[in-house]
Amino acid sequence: MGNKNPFTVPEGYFEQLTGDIMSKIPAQKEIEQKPAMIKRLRPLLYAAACVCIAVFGVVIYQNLDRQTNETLQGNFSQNTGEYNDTFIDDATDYAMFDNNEIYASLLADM
Amino acid sequence: MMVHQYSEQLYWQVRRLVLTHEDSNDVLQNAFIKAWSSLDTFHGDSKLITWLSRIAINEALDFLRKQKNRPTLSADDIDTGIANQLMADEYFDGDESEAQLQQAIASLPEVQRTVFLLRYYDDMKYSDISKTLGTSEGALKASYHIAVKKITEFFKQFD
Repeated sequence: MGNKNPFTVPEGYFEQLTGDIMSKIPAQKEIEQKPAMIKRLRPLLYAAACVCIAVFGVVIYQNLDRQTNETLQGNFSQNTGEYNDTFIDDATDYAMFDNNEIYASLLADM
Repeated sequence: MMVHQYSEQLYWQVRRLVLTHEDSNDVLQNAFIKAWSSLDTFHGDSKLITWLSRIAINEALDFLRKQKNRPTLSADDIDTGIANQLMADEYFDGDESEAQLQQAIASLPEVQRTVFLLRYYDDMKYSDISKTLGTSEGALKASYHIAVKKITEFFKQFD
């Protein structure tokens, strides 16, 4: 009994083997690359999401700020207008009453 | 290129461990797929064939471990039935004593079995086996001599 190989293979097996293996290798590589690619891009996606949120937040803050300023300015000018037109005139008139005029006015109401 | 150059040599290393052609074919293809997917871990510290051999042999040993752990087959069934299975295999060209030799080799522990096959059939140097299996040359020499002794004792029972 020598150390000769007692095993055999189907005819043409080794000619076919390379093709069989090569047909499986690219498919396997592609499957394995997909999760790896997502993994590699994950930090970038997180960074992009943070930037988007930050930009969105700044835009919303600026719009709200502008609206608040406009509202305050509108109210102030409206109020200022009232003071000019009615309230201040009444107050001035009231302030110019003297005691006699007040008594006369009270007696006139009785 | 890598597949074309080394597939035949690796096939025979796997076949002598796994014994049947169909299983060897599956194991070898898995080994090449693993090698391809981890090609970036090969830094050229050893020869490419040594690295590929290590992957193929580990794949074959994994396959044998899983086969032994299958609940439908006991370890004894696998060991005692090997010679008969080989004699019935159309891709086994040996006589009965060669089938018995394969059975004796299959009954050895993993390292003794692998070292014996690589020395006996491939005439591989201990230094190359050491790089392939990651075991010291001294331990490999001891394993080989124990393997030879066990195989000799196995055949004595038939005298």
